[in-house]
Amino acid sequence: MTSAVQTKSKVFQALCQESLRQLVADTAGVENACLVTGDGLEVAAVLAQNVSASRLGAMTSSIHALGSAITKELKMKDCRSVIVDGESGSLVMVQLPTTRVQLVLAVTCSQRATVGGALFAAKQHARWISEKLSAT
Amino acid sequence: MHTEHVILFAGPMGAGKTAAISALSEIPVVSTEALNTDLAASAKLTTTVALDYGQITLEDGHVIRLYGVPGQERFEFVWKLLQTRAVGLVLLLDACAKDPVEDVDFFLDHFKELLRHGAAVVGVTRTDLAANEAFARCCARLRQHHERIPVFEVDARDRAQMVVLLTALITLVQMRETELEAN
Repeated sequence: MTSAVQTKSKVFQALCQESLRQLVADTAGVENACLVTGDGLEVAAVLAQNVSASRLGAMTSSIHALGSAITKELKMKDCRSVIVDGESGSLVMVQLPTTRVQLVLAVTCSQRATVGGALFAAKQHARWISEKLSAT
Repeated sequence: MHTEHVILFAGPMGAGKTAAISALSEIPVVSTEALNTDLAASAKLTTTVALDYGQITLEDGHVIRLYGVPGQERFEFVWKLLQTRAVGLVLLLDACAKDPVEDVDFFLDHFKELLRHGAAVVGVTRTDLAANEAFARCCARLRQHHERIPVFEVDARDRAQMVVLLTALITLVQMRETELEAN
């Protein structure tokens, strides 16, 4: 099971970093990927030069937490993902399944990508990281 | 028609913002708690990452919307977003913090936009556990900043104490509104 200590381990962070690198490299239009703890601290990130990991991380945890508050309010159980659809790009945020410490993967994409494609790729990598975590 | 006021609860992590809104609110509080993984900053189990939301109706019919914001600086964008809508600030300070006086400076600086158009009160929590002169030092520092910020020693979990603090703030907000209208 994942613990707060595990998210700070170098081995775990390197594993996540490699997964995010592949996600950005292999998915057309995906520009940034950032894995953060539920309280907004960066675990791993592959970002364009002008994007701040600490700001994106904090905003991701806040927006995802608001999504969770709404799904809870409407009796929809946990919030699995949040989509922010901008005029010139989109952001998808996916909660990693089966981890004791909540982790959220944020992926941004340009108009070259479809939101569905970015969401699918983000979910695949979120599942992969979760499986690796469960195995360690 | 009764008016509605947006009041922000700000202050460092662990000062009692979530507890204060839970104590005051007459509706189930909307909370955005996440497990705290920054144990170096605070040993508390969970922390607010977006906002707490509660609501209370005062005896005169005023509906007060209570927003608690995260304490960590990385969530500063939430402070900026909400302070434009707010008319009052409840700044909660933890007397047991490393340097509560530094917290006074830090939060008053970050909420200066709200202080320009609204009013503020300060509640110092955990004074019973602080061995130092934290409360007196906070009072002295606040006097240097702004002459009309009342300071209370409070237990954030105590509804009656928090109602007193909130009522004082609403009175100040109304005075400020009258002042601004007159100008």
